[in-house]
Parts: sequence; structure tokens; C-alpha cells
Amino acid sequence: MSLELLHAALRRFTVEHATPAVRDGAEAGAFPAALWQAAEDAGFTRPFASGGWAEAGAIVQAAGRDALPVPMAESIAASWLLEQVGIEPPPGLLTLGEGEIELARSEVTGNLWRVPWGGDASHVVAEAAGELVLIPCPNLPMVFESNLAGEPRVSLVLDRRPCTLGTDRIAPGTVRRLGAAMRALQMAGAMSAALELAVEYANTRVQFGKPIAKFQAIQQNLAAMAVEVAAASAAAEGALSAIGETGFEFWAAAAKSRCGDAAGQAAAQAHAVFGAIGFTHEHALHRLTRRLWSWRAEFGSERYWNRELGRAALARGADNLWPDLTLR
Amino acid sequence: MTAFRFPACTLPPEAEALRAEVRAFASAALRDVPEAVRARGWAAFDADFSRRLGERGWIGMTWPKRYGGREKSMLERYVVLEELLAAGAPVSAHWIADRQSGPLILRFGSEEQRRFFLPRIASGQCFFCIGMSEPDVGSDLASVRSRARPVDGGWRLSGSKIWTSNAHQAHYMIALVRTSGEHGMRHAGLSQVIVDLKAPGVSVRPIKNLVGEAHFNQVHFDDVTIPADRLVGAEGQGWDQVVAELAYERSGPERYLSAFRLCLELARRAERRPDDAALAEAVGRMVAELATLRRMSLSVAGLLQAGQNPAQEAALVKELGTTFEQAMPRIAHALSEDEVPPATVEGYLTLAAPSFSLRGGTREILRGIIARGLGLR
Repeated sequence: MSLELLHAALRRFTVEHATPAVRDGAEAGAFPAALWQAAEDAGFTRPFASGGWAEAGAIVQAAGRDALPVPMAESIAASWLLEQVGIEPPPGLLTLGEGEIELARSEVTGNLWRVPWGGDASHVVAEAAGELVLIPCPNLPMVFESNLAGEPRVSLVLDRRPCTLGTDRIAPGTVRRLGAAMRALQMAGAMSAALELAVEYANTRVQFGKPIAKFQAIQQNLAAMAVEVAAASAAAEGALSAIGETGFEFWAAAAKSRCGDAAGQAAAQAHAVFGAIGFTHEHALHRLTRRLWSWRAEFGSERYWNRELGRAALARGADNLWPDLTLR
Repeated sequence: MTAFRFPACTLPPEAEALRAEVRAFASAALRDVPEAVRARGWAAFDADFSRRLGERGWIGMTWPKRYGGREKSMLERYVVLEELLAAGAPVSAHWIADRQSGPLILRFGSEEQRRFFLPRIASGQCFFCIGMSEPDVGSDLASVRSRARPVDGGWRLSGSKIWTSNAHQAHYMIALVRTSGEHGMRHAGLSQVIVDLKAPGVSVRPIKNLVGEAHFNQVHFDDVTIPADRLVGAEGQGWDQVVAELAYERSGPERYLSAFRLCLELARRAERRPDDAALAEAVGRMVAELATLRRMSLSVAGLLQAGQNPAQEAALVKELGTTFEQAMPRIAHALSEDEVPPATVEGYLTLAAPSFSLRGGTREILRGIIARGLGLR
């Protein structure tokens, strides 16, 4: 499928399957099984059978743009990671887990904190002692929580849980980095959608006898928002195109940091344009902005990644600051 | 809504090969230049340095060989610019001629103008300035009052320009002036003329800026004779010609690297204090921003190389880049307990930073352009 056709298919998919009722149901705690099934049927949860990260990235970004209440990004990332270490991705819903776990004789013990859709997943992919591990989720002791957007975040307790190991070891931080790149892409998508909504609203909402888009204050604020959205998109694109390459360690961090920064600003600016209606549950804006506020803190906050980037840059020395930038 | 697009641009191998050469040259040439001087970058005028760049073929390098150019790509030129800027090389003397005046003459000028001016510019011996603002005309450029009246054999120019960088050291000015129609006709009737700054009737008065240096000037034209063959392009088309080159003016690496020597200094401070997590964090954030900006700025260079006119994207990159440059002194201050002497990198950039979002189109004008791109106006 060409990227253009894929974009169109994703648009249709959202309109058809992610209805307001489905979204509200998901937030109330009912897993939107029909929506997930439709995503699986469309190939949106396992895109690597027919494409690469260009297609997968478009799906992840669209999942952010359309605030889809299912873990497409997690499933895509998990399935890719498994393939990297020679594990055939099992069918069903996959997710990524972070926490503190120990590995002994193909059994894991410890905790995975706030795993996205951990209660609905068939398996979680996590990191233990330099290995990627595939852990079955059903019947684990769980603590059900959610993020600010009402997406399930479920802590899992592992006690000598049998798991599958890959043939190759992985670099430490692999799961977090790929998770960060996914969130960066989702944030870029959600911010673009918020900008689009805000522009459309500004052009139609009439106050003082004219569309508010005609006021310079609104124009300036939306332009500032567009700058942030563009920077976020460029950084996320940097991460996407570096997946599997040497530059990924840098770009995953830079993209998560930059998108997180932009997310806070863009969300605030969008709400300012919409006024009170954008603060209602009825209006769609919060489906985007609450996700932005959640995602910027998941898989490492700006502070976390800035510190990582700073330490890495300083380990290379100030004199390498410029030469290294030109290698990005 | 128009989505702004920043497609990835990969530098070709020949550009990367050139990088090593430029980096080695800059490093040797600037070895003994103190940091506080390097911090001036493209605001530092050094005719001799420009001549040396000209000898190496690094001015006007994308132009045809018959006009003194080297027929290199925009991307090779981009690498030369970013390496010189990052090193803090004094590139102000030839900057405007290389970036704007030369390309304008190449695109709209007569064959005679090309043959006369371009080889001189490319050799680093002919410097230009740009006459846009006037005492009553800042961002509202279309209402310029300087007027060239037709006379036998050319034009007679009266009026004045202000905030003209390097007018006191350049050889020529390309001035936007009214050649026909009446004041108030907006964009129609404006033309671009090449003014010989040594011509009788031209007087240049440097204006000291808040840093205490004279970079910009007020320039008076008192019945200055402009030969007919010194009008660039078509009479009355000056505005369209100005707009056509804005993407070149706005997206270059100089729009985010003005404070790069302070970025370096911040990294050096962090190196000396490895336990200061806040400093490391600031360095990390700075690196993320620099990499993002470079990606976007390069993307616009790639679009230009592909023959597109990404004026909106260029405005966006300039807005993002100058916001970053201006934030750097504030970030450095926030992480320091020390006073800042003027003759330091931080001191100079603290003083110079307000100009970053004024030159080349103010922040508010650029946001207006972005808003138009969004379909808001």
C-alpha cells in the first residue's frame, strides 16, 4: 500500500470505528474490542509484514492524531523489537513494559510499572539483564491505573513468571528508547490535529463581528503554535527515520525531549483559542491535549532525556559538540 | 490548512567532503582569535578574511563558472556556511553579497551586470549592503519614500535608508526605491537599483548600536545619479523580486547559529562541573534544539536546491531559530551566579540578542506570514 493510500485508509478507519461512544466506553474502562479487531484486520497492528517503518510511523502518528484509544503504537513497537531478537511475535495485543525485573532461567521476577493496556495485552515485551523478554500477561497480579487521558496503565507483578528470550542481546534502554520514539510520533500527530482544529475553529467562530482568526492576537498565537508543531514533527521524523540505525540513540532522545516541550506549549495555545467550549468533556480537544500531557511524561520526560543527551554530549566533550551535530 | 512540510535532506558525499576542508581552514585561520570576538560571527567584518574565502571558491559558489562561481550545489554551500558560522568566522563583509545581492543579480540582472559584479563578489573583493528600511518605513516596506526620477541616461535618486548594515564598509547598495507611480500605491512602481556608495550625493552616517558598535547606518541620497544600466530586473517589479528571494534570506544556518559560541561555552561550563545536573540538562535540551533546527534548516536548503520556493517554511525556521538564539543568553544567565562582563561571549550575546528577531523580518511579521500559511488571513 502506498503511503497516500495508507493515510486515506487510516482516516476512514477512524471515522468508521472510533466513534464517540467507543471512545467514552474505552475511558470508562471497557476495552474497545471491536476497534482493536478492526485495527488488526486492517493490518495496522503488524505493519511489517508488508512495509517498513515509513508505514508503521504513519500508523503511529495517525493513532496520535486521531487519539485512538488502543495501543497500536505499543503493539507495533513490541512486534518490531521481537523480530530484532529472533522471536516470532505472537498474535494478539502486545505492549511495552518498563520496570525492575530480574531474569533467572527463563523466568522473570519483579515489577513492571504502569504498562499501557497491561490488563488487556496477551504479552508484554520488556528488558531484563540485557535481554529482551516476552512475558504472557493473562492472570498476572495487576494494579489498575490510568494516565491523564484515561488510557489504562497497569502495573504487573511478576513472580518467577516463565518468559521467552531472544537469540540476541539488546543494548540497555532499548525498550525505553523505542517507546519514547513512539510517543514522540504520537505527540507530533496529536499536536498537528490540535492545530488543525484550532485553525478551523478560529476561522468559523465569530466575535466582535468577525471570525476570531482575523484578530492579530489569535494569528500570532496560532503561528507560534504552528512553529512548535513543525519542530515537533521534524524531530519525530528524525527519530522515525533513525530507527534501527546508529543515530537512533540520539534522535529518540532529542525527539522525545523536543516533542514534550512542544506538547505543553501547543496544548496551552490550542485551549486558549477554543475558550470555554474546549474545556468541556463534550468537545474533542481534550482527547488530544490530555494525551499530550500524559505522553510527554511517559517513556522518559523532557528532563530525563535532556539529562541523557547532556551527559552523552559532555562525555564526548564540548569540542565535539559541533562535529557531532553535523553527523545527525 | 496548509501543512508546513520539512522533508528530510541528506547531504551528498561531495558536501561532506567539503566540510572537512572548510573545518580545517576555519580552525587554522581562527586559532588565535579570542572567543569573545568569535561570538560576533556573521556580524564581524573582515575584508581580508572574505578575500581568502573568495580565493578558495567559497563565495558565490553555486553560480555559473563564467561569472566567477564554482557551479556547486546549494547543499555544498550550506555546509560551507554552517562550518564557518559554527567556528565563529568573521563573514559579515561578503555575507549579503553572497546570500542576496549576487543571487538577485544572477536571477534578474542584465548580462552586463552579471559580468561586472558577480566575479568581483565571488573573489571576495566586492561587498554589498541592502537598502530596505527608511526613517519612516520599517516593517511596512511597501511604503518606501526614496524615489528615483527618470532623467536622460538613467535615474536621479533622493531619499534615505536606515538600519543598513555595513553601508559604511560596503561598495554597493541594492536599494528598494520608487521609480514610478505615487507613494501609497503599495507594491507597484518599486524597483531595485544598485547604488555605488562612492557616488557623489551619497552620505553614510554610522549609527552606534546598544552593543557600542557601528554596524548599521543611515544613508542619504541627495540627487544621486543612477545609470540606467544599474536598475536590476524590470522597472516596477522590485517588490516581486524582493519577495522571490526571501526564502534564501530567511532559512540559512545563520538564523539559528548566532549564539552558537555561547552554546559551546555552556557546554564547557558543564564539562568543568560534571556534578551539576541542571547544567547537563540544559546542554541536552540545547543539543536537541540545535539538531531539530539544523534538520529543518537543511530541509529548506534541500527544497531550494530542488527548485522550490519554500517561503513559508523559511519564515518558520527563522522564527524558531531566532527564538532559540535569543533564549541562549537567558538560559546561560539562569544557570550562573556570576556577573557578566561585556567583553565576553555571554556579555556580547546578551547585548546583541534583541537584534536577532528584528533583522530579516521581525518576529511579528514572520508570524503573520505563518498565519497566512495556516489560512488565517
